[in-house]
Order: sequence, then C-alpha cells, then structure tokens
Amino acid sequence: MLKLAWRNIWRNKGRSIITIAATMFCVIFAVVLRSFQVGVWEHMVDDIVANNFGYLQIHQKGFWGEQSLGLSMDEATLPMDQWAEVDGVRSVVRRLESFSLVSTEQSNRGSLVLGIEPEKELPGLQLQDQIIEGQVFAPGSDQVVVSEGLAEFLKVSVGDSLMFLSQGYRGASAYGQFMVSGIAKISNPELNKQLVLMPLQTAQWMYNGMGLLTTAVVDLEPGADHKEVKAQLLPLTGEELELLEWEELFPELIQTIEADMAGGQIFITILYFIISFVLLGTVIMMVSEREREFGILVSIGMRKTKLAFVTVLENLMLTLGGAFVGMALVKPVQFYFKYNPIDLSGQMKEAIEQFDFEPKLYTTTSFIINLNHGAIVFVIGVLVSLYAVWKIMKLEPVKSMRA
Amino acid sequence: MIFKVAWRNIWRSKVRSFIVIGSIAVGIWAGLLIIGFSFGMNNERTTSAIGTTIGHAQIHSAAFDVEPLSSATLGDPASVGDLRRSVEELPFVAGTAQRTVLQGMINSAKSARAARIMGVWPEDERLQTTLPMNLVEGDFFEENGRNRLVIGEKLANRLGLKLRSKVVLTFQDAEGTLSRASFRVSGIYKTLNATWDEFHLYVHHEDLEKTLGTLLVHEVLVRFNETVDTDEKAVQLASSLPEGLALKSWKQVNPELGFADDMMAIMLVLVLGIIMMALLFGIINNMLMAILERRRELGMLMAVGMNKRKLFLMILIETLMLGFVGGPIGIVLGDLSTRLMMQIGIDLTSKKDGLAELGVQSIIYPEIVPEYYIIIAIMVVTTALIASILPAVRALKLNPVQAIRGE
Repeated sequence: MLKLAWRNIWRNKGRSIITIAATMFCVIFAVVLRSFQVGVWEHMVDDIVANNFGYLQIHQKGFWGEQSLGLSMDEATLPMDQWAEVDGVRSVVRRLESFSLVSTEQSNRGSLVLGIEPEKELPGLQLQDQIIEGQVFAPGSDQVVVSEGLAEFLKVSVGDSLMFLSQGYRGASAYGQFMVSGIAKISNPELNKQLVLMPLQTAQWMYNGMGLLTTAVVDLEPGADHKEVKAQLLPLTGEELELLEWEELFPELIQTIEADMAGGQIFITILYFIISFVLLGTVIMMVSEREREFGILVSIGMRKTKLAFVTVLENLMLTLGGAFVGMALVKPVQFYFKYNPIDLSGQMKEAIEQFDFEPKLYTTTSFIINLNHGAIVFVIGVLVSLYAVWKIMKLEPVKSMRA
Repeated sequence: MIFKVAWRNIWRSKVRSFIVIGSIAVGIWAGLLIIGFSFGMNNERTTSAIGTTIGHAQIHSAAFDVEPLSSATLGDPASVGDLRRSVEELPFVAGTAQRTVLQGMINSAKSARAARIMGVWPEDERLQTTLPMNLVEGDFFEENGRNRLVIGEKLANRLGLKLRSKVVLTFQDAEGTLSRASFRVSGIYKTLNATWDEFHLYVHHEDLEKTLGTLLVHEVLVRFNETVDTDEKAVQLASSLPEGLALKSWKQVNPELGFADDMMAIMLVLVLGIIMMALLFGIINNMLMAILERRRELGMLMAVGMNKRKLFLMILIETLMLGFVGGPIGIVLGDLSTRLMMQIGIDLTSKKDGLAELGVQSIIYPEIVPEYYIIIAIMVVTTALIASILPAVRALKLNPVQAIRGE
C-alpha cells in the first residue's frame, strides 16, 4: 500500500511538487505572520525583564503591590550570600526604589527614583553604555543620572541641580538637592521618560533609611530557568519576604500580550481560511485530473476503500513533506527579521514609544511556532483529503472512464 | 476570437474555474474582514477616548503646549468666557468645557505617584464628556463637600486607595511655588484607556482655587457635533483663535490614538501582504496544475495554428474573467460576514484587562469600510493575474507534438 502510494507520488512529479509547494508556502506564511506577532512582544519582554527588572525579585511581603517604603527590607537581616550561591544565580542586585517629585526652578515631574550600584547592576542599568552625556555618578556622591526623556522634559543638562521631594521611611518627609552628573538613554521607552538613578547610599540617606533596600533583583546565569531558580530560592526567603517572577511583577504586560495575541488570532484564523482553500483546491484538482485513472482502477477490481486509503496516504506524505520543508525553509526568514527588524521610522516612532515599546518589528525564532503551525497545516491537509475519499466512494467507474 | 475561446474554456472545466473563482472570492473576503476588524478596533478606541476624556480638540495657551506650567493659563476668567462663547458660535461645535490642569504628585499613606490634576467644572464635564458616567464607585461631585477627588481605578489600586481615603496632592502655583493640599477620594472612575486612568485625577476647580489663591484656566475642551472631518474642523477652529492660543486636535492631544491609525496601517500592510502572497501561491499552484492537466488541449491548439502570443493572452483573459466573477462574489461575501460580525461581535472577554490596557472594549465589532472594497478587489484580481503569468509562460514552452501524445 505504502509502496503504491509512493509510486504514485513519483509517477506524477509535477503534481506532487505543486502539492508540496502549496503546503510549504502555507506553513511559511502562517509561521511568518505569527513570528512577527510573537516576536515583537518577546523582544519587549526580554528588554524589560532581562535588562532592567530581572526575572526574579525579592521584596518585603506586600511591597510590590503598595510600592511603599514602609515595606522595605533591612539589608543586615537578609541572607544575600545564601541566595547568591543557589544554582543558576549569577548575583543579587541591591536597589532602593521609590517615587519622588523631581523639580527644577521652572518645572517638576513625578519620577521613579532608583538607588543602585551601577557596576553590580543588570546590563540595562550598568550605565557605561547608556550614558549619552556627562558621566556616571561616583558611589555615595550627591549626584544623579537622569534618563533622556525626563531630562528633556525638565530641560536639565549636566551640571544642573534637581530638587527631590517625597515621602521617606516611616512617613518622614524626604528632601534632597542633587547635581546631574550624566544623562542616560534607557532602552525601555516608559522608563526613559521617568527614571532618575542615584547611588544606593545617597538614596538611603535621602529617604532616611540607612541600610534599607526595597528590592533585591536576582540576576540569572544565561540559560537558567527562572522557575527552577525560584523553586530553589523559595525555602531561603522565608515568610516575611515575597519572591516574585516577572510574570507576577508585570501582570498588565502579560494581559496586554494576551489581548494583542487574541487580536492576532483573528488574523491568523482568516489566513487559515485561505490556506484551507488553497489546499482544498489542490485536492479537488488532483481528483478531477485523476478521475479516469480511478475509474480504471475500480473497474479492474480495486476496492474503493483501498483506493481511497492509498490516495489519502499519498496526500498525507506530500503534505507532511511540504510541512517539514516549510518549517525548515522559514527558519532563515525568522532569523533575518530577528536581527534585522523592520524599522518603523518617522511619526510611527512616537506612537510606539507611547505604547511603551521600541518602534521595531522583530520576529521570534522559537521553533514551537513552526511546529504548531506546521501541525495545523498538516491537519488541514488531512481534512481536505477527505474530499478525495468522498469523491472516490461515490465514483461510478464507467462514467468517469469516459470523462 | 480569443475571448470566445477563453470563455468556452472556463465553462468546459467547471471544477478548475470554480477553484480559481473561489480563491479570488476568499481572498477578497479575507481582506475585507481584516480591514473591518482593524477599523473597528481602532475607531472604538478613538471614539471612546474622545467621548470620555479628551474631546475633539483642546485650546491651550501656546506656552502651555511647550511646557505645561501652572503659569501658562488662557488668561483671566472673563477672557476665557469670551473665548468659549466665540468658539461655541461655530456651526460644527457642540459644546465646550474649561479645566485647570496642574502637573503634580499624589501621596497616599503608603505611596506616591506622579499625576495630572484636572480642576473641573462638574456641570461642564457632565455635558461635554462621558467620564461622569464611567464611575465604578462614589459620585462625580454630586454631593457637596470640600476637597473631593475622583481618581482612576488603576491609580487607586496602585496607591491602595478606597472611597473616602485621604491623599495629599502636591502641585505648583502660578509663581512656581509648591503647594500641598489634602483631598478625600469621593469617586473612582474607569475608562477604556488604562493609561489615562493611571495618570489623571479630577478635583473641583473651587478647591484648587482656594489652595492656589487664584483661578487658573489652562484648557478649553471643544466637542464637535460629529466625529467626521475632525482635521478640517480643527484647522478652521484654529484659524479663529486669538493670538497666543493654540489648538490641539484629538490626534495631537493623544498622539497614540492618531498614531494607532498609522500603526494599524503598517500591520494591515503586513497582514494583507502575507494573505495576498498566500493567495498568489494558491492561484499559481492551481493554474500550474491546470496547465499540466491541459497539456493535450494546449498542444492541440498550438498544432492547429494558434500562435504563442494568442495562447498567452488566452490564459490571461481566462484568469481575468474568473476574477470578474470571483471579485463581486468576494465583495458580497465579505460585506455580509462583516455585517454578521457587527451583529454578534468577537468576544474576547477573557482578555478584558489586557484589552483595556490597549484601550479597546472586550467585544470587538468590525466596521464596514466601503472605500476599501474596490481597492481590495483590484489587489486580489491583480494578484490573480500575476499568478497566471508563470503558468502561461510554462504553457508557451510546451512542445505541441509531445503535449498531444501526453508525454
């Protein structure tokens, strides 16, 4: 049987190649569309999570929900060394984060103030690569680095001073006046509009909380699975602290992604309608072209069920072949657009920055997408070959041989 | 003559013709549906933002648009009154509302955030925007009382605020000195635009006046009678404004809404491009198969003396004819299914919160956009024509003798 199907495929190479090509292109188009939909978000998550916030964060229980300095941690009581020794953890980064009103003589804006140690930070906040003007503050100095967007808004440049006004630890008022030592371009547009960075000790001093941290960012080794690391860290953090993974840190991001994906699902569904039609067309053509051949086979005694089975088998082989070729051939396309994203310039740029992502369309190179959509196209191929079964079962040999 | 042959060919093999017609129809159908959904999502976002919060246009002092300082007002209350009267005289303006707009901070017992403080005249706001209808708790300055605050649900959650919670607002007065005042939450609102909710607070203008010592008006919101030709109306309105004032249309006030159009256009090009490509290959496949199948017939035509140019033309004309049948079918199908979808909508309720982040409601209704019908139809038929070129070229390469023998 298998042999018969195999021979049939080779007997009419032209038609076989066309069927394979049809399946192949269907897989390619579905995968490219989905890769863009997924890729844009994948890139964004990677940027926010890996570069700025980390896959795992440890705070006092309740801090992330309330963002209040009252829920900060005393560094002396934290087993930071133990955390750093867990498999997959590269280091534990210390931060003090809070909101403050930042003002110049003319204007003011609410900003996110991060007290950090740049040399120990995540890649996106190490500042060496991000500084576009001036320089990094010295540890413990009365200097700050302002993000590009905020500096533009406040119209400050290197050497100007900024007033900070906020609420300190235990409700005390927090004041400070610091000099701008540098301006940094933060890759995340949302942060770039509102971030002020200062030395950790300076932030602790301003907020009246020496030795306090709000956040311990767990920086992971490349390739480490954050869920596994989380499982190992959990027994070490205890009841008083919360250990959150990025999905819990940014639930809105996840929701937005899901919503966008749902919208994208509508487009993919429509594409699949076309794909089904293309594949169905191929099968219909195949059957109408081979009606005579089928008629002869049936009249010389081949059972219809057997014939139908062979035909479906043939079609499955071709579809499977096409799906695999498509899955493989689309790979370079995915890689190309991952590293050479479609750049949306001009006005578009501002639009997307408002939506908080980079104005570039990336693809993902995740192979799961190829597998999924290869499988879907294959299933459609199987379903449409039922048309051939139906046609063969109601075949009238004499009539079809005359055709 | 060629037309006649082409026409007969179409009827002679109904299955093949049906497939090509079907592909064309499905392509147009898909294009219309995709455009319908994109416009539907986008317009919903726009109408909702215009209606609930920003209006069709806003008038500020030119200085305010450069930098939204407390001192950049529209002038004294009397001149603002004159301004509003003159704007309301324009035939396409339905109404106006004035606001005090301050940049500041909100501090709760637990935490602090940046915020924009909108000092409103509640009766104006009720007439010109639907925000007062979007309250999830409390009321929009209906009951009397001092220093009441209406806050977005999202910001309220972030700050751990409930109805009657106390907060401190910090903002600059016209001289640039920082003032502080405590307010009590009297209402919590929720619009479709989560970004707005996270940043905007509403207070009664009288309470700000008491703290600031003077009445500052920074913004006049203008509502048009209809959301059509807003750009033209904005230009006309802008030209009637006195010196020193500037007009921002809704697209400029909330650029993400205007730019969402562009974003959509780019995504549409991407999606439609991919769909057209899929269609292209689908039709090429079918036509190639058709040529394979018709070797004998084409060989015969060549043998009896049809020249290659005519043969090529014949195949193109066949496709074009199929396109003319498939096109209208596709348009009708697309139109009907869009109308059907407008009745039922696509329910994405499970993604509700995420869609609110994107400023869209949870049930998406497509929209009929007749301007695109012809464009899409032309695109698809052109695609079909392009798709028939390769098979036609293949046909030209046939050797009549071998083709008739079936080799």
